[in-house]
Amino acid sequence: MTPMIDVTFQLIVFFLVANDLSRKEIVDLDLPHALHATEDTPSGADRVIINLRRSRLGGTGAPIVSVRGRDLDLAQLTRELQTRADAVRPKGPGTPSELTALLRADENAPWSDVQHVMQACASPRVAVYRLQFAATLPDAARPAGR
Amino acid sequence: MSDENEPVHLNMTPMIDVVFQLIVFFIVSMKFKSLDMKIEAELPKECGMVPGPARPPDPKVDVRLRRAGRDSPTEIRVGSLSLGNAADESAWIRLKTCLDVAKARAADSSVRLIGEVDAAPAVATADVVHALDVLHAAEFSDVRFTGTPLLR
Repeated sequence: MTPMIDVTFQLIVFFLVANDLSRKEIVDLDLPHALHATEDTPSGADRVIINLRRSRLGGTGAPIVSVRGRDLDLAQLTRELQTRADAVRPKGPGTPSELTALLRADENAPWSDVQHVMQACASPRVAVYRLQFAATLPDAARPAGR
Repeated sequence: MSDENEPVHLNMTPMIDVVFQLIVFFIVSMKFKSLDMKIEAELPKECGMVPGPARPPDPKVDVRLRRAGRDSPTEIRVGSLSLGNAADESAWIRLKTCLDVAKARAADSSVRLIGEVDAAPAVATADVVHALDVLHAAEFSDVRFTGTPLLR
């Protein structure tokens, strides 16, 4: 019986770890609706996922940004973006990076929060100009079972 | 006396039952989160001063989203023309019509038309993404953002 129990425990460990990892990159948010958005295909190291939750105090507080499960302020976000952007910058410092930023902003987040993130992306040291806005299909347009 | 010398056998069945119950629980409770859709956009690049002859500005359609306060709805404008409130679906249809007309005019003169989104800071992100969605529906491939830089 020992091998069987070993395999079973390995399965349990796999599901525990996989479950945890799947939650780190993507935060539960109410994404904006878009009818004509294209389907997202996961990509590798050349994309950073920025989660932007609705700020406290009814939108007047600082934006709540998280990357890879860590909550960051704007200075930390800029540093994180610069590190990731430098890794895929073909022509050296100050030139545009190949990094794409996927912005997952809550539909009720004020646009100023997104503007802060966009400013961080477009700052000269970061130079990330490719943006993607995450969206969902409106309920009426969603195929059955999704 | 002979019973004491026999090896003890552990009954593994209840343990395996529990372990399988755990596996089933994790499989059922696990929810792989996946993104549904995305809209592509590009930020303006700061290129500095470029020597050379002045180029006429590219023709563009200004989509402006304005909001007076947190409780007021977002107003949609094309240039200075007000199309109504974002809560009213017909305002978005009017926006689509305006974009289609501008696109048709640009096609006649064979110029590349730019869609420019200028949203006020208080506007909800949902409304801006909706505007981007309408621009994509009207086949604007070049969409840019404008606005006043925010202070941190």
